[in-house]
Amino acid sequence: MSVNQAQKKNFWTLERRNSIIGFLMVSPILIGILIFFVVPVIFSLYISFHEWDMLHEPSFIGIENYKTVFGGEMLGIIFKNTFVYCIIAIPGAIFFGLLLALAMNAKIRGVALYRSAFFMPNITTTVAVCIVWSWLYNKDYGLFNNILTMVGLEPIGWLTTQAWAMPSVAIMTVWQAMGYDMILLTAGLKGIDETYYEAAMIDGANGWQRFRKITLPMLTPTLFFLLVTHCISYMQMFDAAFIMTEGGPGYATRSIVMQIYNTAFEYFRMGEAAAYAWVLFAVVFVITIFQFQLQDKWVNYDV
Amino acid sequence: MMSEQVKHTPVHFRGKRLNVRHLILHIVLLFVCFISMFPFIWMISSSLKNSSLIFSYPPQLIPNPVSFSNYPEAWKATNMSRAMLNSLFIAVTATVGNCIVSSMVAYGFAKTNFKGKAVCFMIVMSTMMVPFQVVLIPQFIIFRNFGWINTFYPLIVPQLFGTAANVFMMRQYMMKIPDDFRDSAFIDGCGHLRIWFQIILPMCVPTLVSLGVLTFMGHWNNYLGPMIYLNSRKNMTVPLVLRTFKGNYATKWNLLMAASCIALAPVIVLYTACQKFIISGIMLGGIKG
Repeated sequence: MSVNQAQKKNFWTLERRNSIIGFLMVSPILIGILIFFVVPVIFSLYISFHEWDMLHEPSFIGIENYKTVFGGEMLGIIFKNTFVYCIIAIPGAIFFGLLLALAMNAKIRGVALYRSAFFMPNITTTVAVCIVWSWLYNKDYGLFNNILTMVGLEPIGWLTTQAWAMPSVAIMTVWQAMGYDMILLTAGLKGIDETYYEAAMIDGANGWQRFRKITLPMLTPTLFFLLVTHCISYMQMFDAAFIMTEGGPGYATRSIVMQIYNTAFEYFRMGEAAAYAWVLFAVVFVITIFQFQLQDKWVNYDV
Repeated sequence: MMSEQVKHTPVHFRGKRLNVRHLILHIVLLFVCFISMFPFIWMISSSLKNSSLIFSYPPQLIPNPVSFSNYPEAWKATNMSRAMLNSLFIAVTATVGNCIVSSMVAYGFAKTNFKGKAVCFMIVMSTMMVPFQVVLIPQFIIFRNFGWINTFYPLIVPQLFGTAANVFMMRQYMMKIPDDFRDSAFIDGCGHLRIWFQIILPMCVPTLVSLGVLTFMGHWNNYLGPMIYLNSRKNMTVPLVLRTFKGNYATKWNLLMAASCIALAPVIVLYTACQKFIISGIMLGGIKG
């Protein structure tokens, strides 16, 4: 106690000193956010109202960039492409992830082994995986078309036709992502209290009824989490299509982020690229808010 | 987990119905396993084929003859040793820096008190909602003004301030550690910095390893960042080198597969070694929901 009294005389009480140390410990990320987030965000808004090729001085052009973005034909194309990708990849990954999680929840042997196999595609380098899939998808010599030919079907231009290119990329994503979804859904399944099932069995509920009335509602928080995070990250799809098709054939696999990349680093229209980025942000934001609004309708949080 | 298993279902072949169900499940799971692993198997198989066998029809799963010559050729043509060193350097420095700083920040949020802590935490979390692309272009311009283009700095320095996701997960974990540890260290005259480094941090090692491995993998696999910032051959990372190689050797699939094998080998070794940590790290991320 004498120590405490001695310190009270001082301006630097222990409490005050500790709260300053606490703030200092947190400060690196605040500084980081200021330099690498707040400043760039403001700068990005500034650029989006300017015409700038990085060689000359930026010149103010008002909302001209946004007019170009909304007036051009590309906006519709890239959003359509990205939505096609999302509509296949998101439900696909969640559906197969759920099936796997359910199958693995049946208390069978070798679960750990299965799990490591299912998850491996998720952790491996996307560029390498994309090269392997480009080979599998190859029109003339790829394994998929070889198999189709063997069973007497017409080969498909997986990555070379406008209709198939984006679905092909999305199929690869489902293959890559289902292991991730499986792990989170398995955790969700583990969290369901056994007594619910025991009670349902006593009441004579069959397997489907137990799934429909217990498992599915209890998993809705995990499903909601997967849906929201997948929407955010798949709307930003870039790597897979850029490596497998470079946005082609034509514009068939050009995603929103690829458009941002191309506009900025190939055409050097920084202002327009920034405008695209803000449009992407606005759309992702609205979708996320919308999902949170809708969650009361189907997500079950009372355990 | 094992004891539960014994309780619910007989491991020996007694209840016939249950075993049939399990058999069907195993068949389904093995089939999906096959789908998950097949591209890798096909990659290895193709990497061992010579340039005529690679295009043969019907395709062979086990190449005859087996040719290993693709590996040295791909290794040399890609300058892979240099690329691996680059990737390793970036991933290790960024990961170590990120994890140490993130854990310190997390300690600040979990175990200290200061005015405006809640607001600061909200600000940190809100940055996760804005897509990285919004800051991509201005960041590029800022780093260009620093003269950092074609250096590793843009890929490492921002990480040294900690990242929101890692701070969040570390904080979640630290919140579960009772404050008594901190308080008794206080009585012994420890300051926050020492409590963080000598008491709390050692208790967080499993989480730290999980986040560390995942962060490392993220950097090792990163494509967009290095592509924007690194343009000279000697600075290229493994994914960049692979992508360039694909551009130059578009039809030499056996070489491309060998290069992919080489690129994936360290990832798969790390994955196999740290699987437990990776999976618990993924689950940590899922708690957010």
